Formats: sequence, structure tokens, C-alpha cells
Amino acid sequence: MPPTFSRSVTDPHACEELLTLWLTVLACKGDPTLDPGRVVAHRLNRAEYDNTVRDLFGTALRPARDFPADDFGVGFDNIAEVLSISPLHVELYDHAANALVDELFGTGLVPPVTTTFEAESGDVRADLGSVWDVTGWVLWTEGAVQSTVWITDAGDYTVGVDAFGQQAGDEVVRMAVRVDGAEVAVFDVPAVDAPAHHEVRLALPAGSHTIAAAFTNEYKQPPADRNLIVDRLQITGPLDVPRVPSPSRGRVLTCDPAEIGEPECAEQIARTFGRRAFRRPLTEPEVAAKMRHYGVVREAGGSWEEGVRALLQGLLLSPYFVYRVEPDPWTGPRALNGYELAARLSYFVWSSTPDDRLLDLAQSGALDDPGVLAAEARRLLDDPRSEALVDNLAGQWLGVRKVDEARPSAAVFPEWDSGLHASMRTEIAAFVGNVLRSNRSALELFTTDETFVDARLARHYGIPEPEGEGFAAVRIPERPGLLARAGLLSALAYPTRTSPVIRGSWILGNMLCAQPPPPPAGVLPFEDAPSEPVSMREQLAQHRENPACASCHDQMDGLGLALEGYDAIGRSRTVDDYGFPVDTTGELPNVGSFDGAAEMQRTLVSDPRLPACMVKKVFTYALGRAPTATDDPALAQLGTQFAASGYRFEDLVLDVVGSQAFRWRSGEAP
Amino acid sequence: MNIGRRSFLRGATVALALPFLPSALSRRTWAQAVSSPTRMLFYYVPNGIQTDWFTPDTVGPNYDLKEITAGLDPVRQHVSVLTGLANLQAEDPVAGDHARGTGSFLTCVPIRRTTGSDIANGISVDQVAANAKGHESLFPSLQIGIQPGGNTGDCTAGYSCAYTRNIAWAGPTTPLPNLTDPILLFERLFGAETTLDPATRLLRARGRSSVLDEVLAETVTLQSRIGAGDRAKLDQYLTAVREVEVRAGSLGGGACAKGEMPRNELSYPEHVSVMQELLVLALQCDLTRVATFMLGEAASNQTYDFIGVPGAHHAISHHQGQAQLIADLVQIGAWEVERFAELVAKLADTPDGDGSLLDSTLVCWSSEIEDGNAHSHRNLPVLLAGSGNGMHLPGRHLVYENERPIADLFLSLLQGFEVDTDTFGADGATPIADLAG
Repeated sequence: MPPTFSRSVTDPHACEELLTLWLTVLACKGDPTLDPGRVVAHRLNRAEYDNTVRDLFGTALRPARDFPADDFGVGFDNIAEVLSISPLHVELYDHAANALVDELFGTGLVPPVTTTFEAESGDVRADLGSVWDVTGWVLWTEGAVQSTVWITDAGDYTVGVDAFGQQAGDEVVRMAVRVDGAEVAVFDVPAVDAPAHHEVRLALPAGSHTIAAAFTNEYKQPPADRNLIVDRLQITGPLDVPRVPSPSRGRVLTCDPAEIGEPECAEQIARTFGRRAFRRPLTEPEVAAKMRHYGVVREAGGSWEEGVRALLQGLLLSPYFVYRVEPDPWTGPRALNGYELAARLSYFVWSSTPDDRLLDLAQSGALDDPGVLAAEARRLLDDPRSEALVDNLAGQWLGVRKVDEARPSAAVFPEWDSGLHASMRTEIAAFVGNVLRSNRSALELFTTDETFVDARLARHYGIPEPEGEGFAAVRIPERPGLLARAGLLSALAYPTRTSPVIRGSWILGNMLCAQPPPPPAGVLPFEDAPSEPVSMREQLAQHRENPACASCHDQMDGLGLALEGYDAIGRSRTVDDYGFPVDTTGELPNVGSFDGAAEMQRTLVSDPRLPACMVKKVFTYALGRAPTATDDPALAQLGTQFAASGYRFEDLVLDVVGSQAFRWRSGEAP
Repeated sequence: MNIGRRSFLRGATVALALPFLPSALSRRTWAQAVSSPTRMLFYYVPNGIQTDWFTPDTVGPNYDLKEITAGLDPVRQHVSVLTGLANLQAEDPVAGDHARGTGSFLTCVPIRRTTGSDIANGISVDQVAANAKGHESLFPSLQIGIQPGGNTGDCTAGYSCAYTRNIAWAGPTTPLPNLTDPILLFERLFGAETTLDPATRLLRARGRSSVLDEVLAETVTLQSRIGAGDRAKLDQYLTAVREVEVRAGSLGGGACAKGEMPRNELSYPEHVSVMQELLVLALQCDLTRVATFMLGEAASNQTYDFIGVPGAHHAISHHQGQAQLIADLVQIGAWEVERFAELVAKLADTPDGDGSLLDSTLVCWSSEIEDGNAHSHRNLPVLLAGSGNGMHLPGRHLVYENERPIADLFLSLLQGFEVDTDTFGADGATPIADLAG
């Protein structure tokens, strides 16, 4: 039976002292009346896996790009309960571990990379000709299509051209392949219906190269006409280039076996690399187990490096590497230990593994001090690795990754090409990063006219091109705010036209956490195919006459219609997809009415749901779990702090890190 | 008991049990399986099919071909069209038919509507088959797909992406993701191109075996220190590592005559062809006997510019009776059926035992809905190719009534595969009698 203390306190000073003491206890130890919630064993998702091996090995390999797409829950791909694992994952982990160790020791070959240019796309230049049947480029008289590629490694490459011909006369269509203007191969192109692959192998120095396919035997005796149709250009390499040992091998191979002895050095690696891989020191039995892998290989006659390979694989396939695990010694809440806190913090801010400094602070116990934890959070935010918050948190919440999904129809938007797409992706990441990472008010996301464009995007926006190469900061007063970025507008559209419903629904769900429910039974997505010319606004108005539709469409239509001044690839326009003049007026019920994207975004900023939703999104992502009703007090508290800080994003990150939900967990009976 | 005696006994049990098997169908299966094992493939196409341009007018053999099925002409004798089968488990008055139709495509149970952490489905027919027979080949089952999955979490109408991306389910909460990269699939089947000497390879196999043993031991120990929810997560890992361990050290398909390593950066139609060829190779080399193939994810918005259909598949599929959009869909459907016909022809041209690979294989092709406009799960477009060692007499148009559950078809296939069961999914209880002719 625990001792009980009971005395009546009459002295007001004593009362105050006790209260202060109790508050101090709460600050350090947590409030026992708050449920900190529970996160299950958290499998590293693709972004976390890639960042983790980048920081462990100093590698540029991104093995997780080949992993299956991660499962999503509540809008994010880092929700522990949802992330599942299959035999395919384990095989790909094994594959990845091999590739990482190969690179470390410099065994094997430099992996070849293939770059493809579709001939009809904007990435390929042509002297003459035209698009052929949407998928190729026809050279109707002698001429060439060409593209430019940057090569980082010198070596052998294959240059490939997929092409076919319209045959006429007594010769077969002939094609010359040129690299940097010099002819490197000539092919007969007998294929007539579908492209055939032609390739030539040659040595190339590092740097910029042009590759071209040219039609060289024009023949025309109407109606007979000989033409070359190029489907795509490709370059693959470097081929058969042996790797050299990784320059950052010292990060993993922390000792020299010749100096301190082979098994001794292997054991040192198991301990130092193991501590980073497991995000905590290995226990003695664990060290012994990893050394057994080393021993098995050495006894079979393997070299020291082969033994260390097995040891490293043992670490990279361990559940302690693949999962972030927080054991439950008892049922009920407990404070996380320093290592667990270090991992939560680094995976929140960096989507990566804790660095040595965080692990050292965990080991010394310093990280248990909320002040030290806050200072470390600040340090992590100031590190370039915190760009992960833009890629992953904002990537999913604010639509940065969404831009990748834009798929405009080449037939309707011939101006679209991968270069423009890439510029849009760069812009939105820079735009979001500019607000979030300089600790300005997060509400500026919807009001700032400061953004970043290159020449291609400037032309797209119809503003003067910046001087010099690459991206420059510019102000576009007529197009402020996140929701007017061309990449987001392109992603939130059908391939051939805009959809105010898609745009409005996304804004409600991601910005206001008020995702409308799916349409009720028997309702068809009317706007996919209007049977007669009707303006978009009119179609939506008709739709809202049905009360079953109105309850949600009243909320989302206005938001989407305010963006109708931008087409399905984000260009300004005055006429909609059905030929009607654009009308961008609308309202957000109970909040306000607006005309155009800028006013609509200002209306959003005046909606108290916006900051509350920001808190909820950041909290969800930070913990990797869906908030529950027991989190309401914590969310309300964070909302108050967020308002008091002037809605500064980085302050919100720090407040979440300081919250009890972040520093504690609820146990569950084993 | 020593191993030799145990396996002798197991063999004897099988031999003794056979004469008591209930149907002539099963005996025939067994008789042919002596030379060639039975294989099952499940092939998924997204967004439904315009059945008016698909369903034959005539019933029985020598059925007539429509615009969408025209591509079946060279393989018609190998393919049956099944009309009238339904997956009522996917019916629900609310939106989300693509997710429901795909989630329960091979499980035939209702899926739980959620975008959160509490997904719930059943076990899919391919996995029931793999659990029974998978140990006889290197890969108990393969999941192959074309679309690698999006980078953001917006799937459809309140349903998790797990339902829209996966048709193979090892259990209610364990979807099995598709391998979509042709080079990785090739390497998984046949091993990476390697210049390693045999001694090093042997050495590494020993190291790897030591590692996998230890990983299993570590996982088991860890499970005693964590809560029930975490333990369920780690169970998935344990299962996965065990399956991989069984394969460890095997030469894989390296011994089988293998094709050329596929090229990188393929166009969509090339990607489909290459994945289908690798699938055939996997069967030919007996690396697996059960596989699923997803031509796209649920409600795929693949564009078909290359056959002159601009716009996105799912968007077009809501045609609302418009002639141009229907014509586009018929074109897309015909292209999809041509790909299937290519696969069937390839299986028919691949020798296996005394006959062709198609003789021992059964390929079931369908979509998550009837057609893209109506979103019904009642009259699913179904093609069945190959004989599966006598399970199916191909080349006929078979018509079923009263919304007969497609789960009955799956039950028949499982029984033909010698799985000891008399139900499947929520409504599979009566095997289809006329399947074998």
C-alpha cells in the first residue's frame, strides 16, 4: 500500500508552493489524467527508409523507390497501424541491403540509368515534322529530332531509337543516329506498323550530350511518300563500369582490421553502426548474434569484408531496424525513454534516423529534460534535413506530392511536357518551404504573392522571365497563395478540363479538415460528361437543386468555382472549358463570399477551422497515428498555443514535440 | 520419427484418399496432374466493360464475337465467356463501388469502409489456393501489377487505398502488394545478373541463412515485450521472413531457360506485354502455380492516347450514354481483351508436359464492376481460359441466372485445385456443375 499524505493547507504561501511543485511535476512527468495515446510498431515507410540509409551510409541510392507504394490512413503514409508488410517487402529489403553493402565496399558495377525522351513531347526538339498519331513524331522530309542529356559518369552508353517508317520507293527508310552532331550509326528501318528498337553502343565522356535521330533518304513521288516516324529516344548507361569503394565508407567501417584485429574491428562496427541502425545501443546478446553471422562466413572461408557484409545485413533486416518499436513493460501510460524520444523527433522533423548527437543525449539522459528536447527540435528544424517536412508533411497535407499526379492529355494540352511539370513541382515545394521554414505565420500560405519561377514557368504564368538560369524569387500580385499554384491546379483537374468539385473537395478536406462524404446512392458524377453545352457554373447549380447533393456541394462548389479563372494546367483564362465566360464568384457558407482565388483564400484564412485543421494535420503526422477523442484536450491546448504564437509553423512543431502525446505512450498488456 | 517415413506416410494418405473424392472432375484433375501441376491465374481489368459490346448473343460453343471480344478470335476455342455471375458482397447503396468491387474482387466478402487504420477484408481465393499448394513451388503466389500506386492518399469515396490497389489478401488486414517493376520482377524470379564466383555465392547464402534465422528469433523475442496491437504488426513480419527463408539458397528460376532481362522505361503497352511474358515464364519454370495480375488500379485514370483515346479511363467510363465516350470505352475494352488474348496465346504456345501450359492453367479474367456508368456488381464480365487439367471445358458461352455468386466459380476452382473446402467467401456454397462440360 503506498503511503498517503493528507494535511490541510491553510498557509496561502504553502498552497502556492505546492501548486508550483505540482505544475513542475506535470511539466516533467506528464499529467496522469491525460491519455497520451498509443502508436503501434511503426514500419519505416519509403521516404523514411531512403532517408535513413542516406544518413547511415552516406549513399545516393534510393532503394525504397522500388518498394511497393505505402498504405495511407487519414491522409498520410506514415500511420503506423496502416503500414503493412509482405514477403515482397522482405525480399526488397534484402535486395536493398545487398546493394548498399556493394556500394560500401565498391563491389559490382555502377548501376546504369535509362533516360527516355518521347519524340512528341516538349523535351525533344525537331527541325521539322509533326506529331504522329499522338505517340510519335513524323519526319516527312530529311530532318532530325534531338534531345539533350546530362551524364555524370563517363563510360559506355547505348543510345536507342524506337522508330518505324512509311515505306515507298525501292529503298527501306533509313535513319542516322547522331551524338553531338557526329553520325554514330545508320539503320534501315523496315518496321511499318509499330516502332522497332534500334540501338548503338559508344563511349561518352561526362557532361552534356545531344542525341538525335535523322531521316536521311527522302523519297516522294506522290502519292508515294517515304517518311520516318520516331517514337522515342533513349540513352542507357554507364555500362560495365566497376564501382570504386564509397567515399563515405568510413562512416560505417569505423576501424581498420589490420590495426586492431579482424574480429575486434567487426565487433566495433557491430556496436557503432548497430547503435545507429537500431537507434539504441545493442545488448550484449545482440552483439553476439551479429558476430555469429560474421563467424559463419569466416569459417566458410570468406574474407573479412564478406563477414562484415553478413553482419550488416543482419542489422538491416532486423525488426529493430525495419520497425520503430516502443515496448510496453506494463499497461498504462509511461514516459518514453531518451532513445524513443530521439527517434520520434528525428522521424518527425527529418523523416530519418537520429544522428549521433541525439543518440548521445539519449544515452546521457539529457533528452528527458523538456528544455533540451526543445533545443534539439530547434536544431533539427535548422538542419537542411528538415526539408523532409516539405516533402512529406506538406507533401501530403498541402499538395506538394499531389503535383506528381497531374496527367493532362497531350492531345488537349500540347504545351504540357515533363520540363514544365518538373518546374511546377519545384515551385510549389519552394513556395511552401519559403513560408513554413522561415517560421512565418502559416496563414501566409494563402496570402503571400512571393513565389519562385524559372523561365518556363514564367511564360506559363504570363509574367516576365527571370534573369539568369534556374529559379528566382518573384512576386506575382495577381496570383497569390498556395491554391493558385499551377502544379496544384493541374493535379486537381481532369486530364482534359477543370473540375471545381475536385478542387473544392480537396480544399475542404485538406485545408479545413471537413472532407465531404462520398456522394449518396444513385448519384452520377454529372460533370464528367455534360450532354449539351452548359457552363460549369450552371451544371453545378442544377446539381445543387437536389437537396441530397446540396448539403455538400454548397460547401465545396464555391471554393472550386473561385479557381475557374485557371485552366486544367493552371493558366489564367477568361473562358471556361465549355466556351462560357469565367465567373469566379462564390461563397463559403457561414464564413464569407468572394470573387476569385485571392479573395477565396482570404476567406479561408478568416475561417477558424483553418488553424485548427493545421494543428490536427501536424499532430497526426508527428505521431503517425489518427487522433482520437481523447486527444481533443491536447489539440485544443495546441490550438491555443498556435494562435498565441501568431500561427508560426515552426513554433507549432516545437509545441507538438513538447506535448504529452509526443513524449509519452499508453501501454497495452503484452 | 524420421523424415523419410513421414513423407512416405503423407504420400500414402493422398493415394488412399483419392478414390473417395466426390466428383469425377477431381479424379480427372489428379490423373492429368501427374505430368503437369494445375495453375491458377486471376486477371483484373479496371473500370468495367461495356457488356453490350462484349456478351455473345449465342450460348454454348462457337459463340459470336463482339467489338470488345474481337481480339479473342485466334484463341476462342481456349476461352469461355461467363455471363450473369455477381459479386453481391460489393453492393452497397453508397458510393465507392470501385473500391468495394476491387477489395472484394477475389475475397467475396464485404470490406469495411474506412480510410483509417482499421481495414478489414477476407482472404482471397488465390491465397486460399496458395496456402494449400504454395509450398510445392518456389513462390507460393505472385502478385503482378502495372500501376505502382500513387504518392498521396486520396483513393476513393471513403475507402482505403489498400482496397483499390490490391486484389490478393493473405488475411483480413494483410493485402499483398503488386510488383510492378519489370526488372525487379525478373530478378526476383531468376536472380540478379551476377558475376560472382560460385564460392562467394555459397558463402553469401550461408551468411544470409544465418541472418534470417536470427531475424526470426529476434522477432519472436521482441513479441513477448510488446502489446497485442504491435504483436499483430510483427506477426506480418514473421510470416514474411519465414516465406523468404524457405526460398533462401534456392537457385530460383536460374536453372530454367530464361528470357532476356527486360528493358527499362517501357511505355504502358510495352510494360503490360513484358509483365505478361514474365508471368508466363514464371509458370513455365514452375516458380509459382498461383498468380494475380492487375492491369490497373481500381478506377484507373490511365490514358489511352496510343490508341487514339485521349482523356482518362475512369473519367470516360462515366459515359452517361454519350456515343463518343461509349465508343472510346469499347476501344479501350477491345485493347484490354487483346492483351488477354495475347496471354492466352502465349500459354497455348508454350509446351508443358505432353501438352501446352494452357492445358494445366486456368485463367479467370474480370473487372470490379459491370460497366463504368452503372457501377453494378451483378452481371460481371468474366472470361475463363484454359482447362486447368480438366477443370474447365473452354470455348463456350455459359449463362447463369439469379445473380449466381462468382464465389461459386471460385469455389469450383478451389475444389479443382484439390483444396478441401465446400464454401468460399460469404456466398460461395454451390460449385458450378457445367464448368467441366
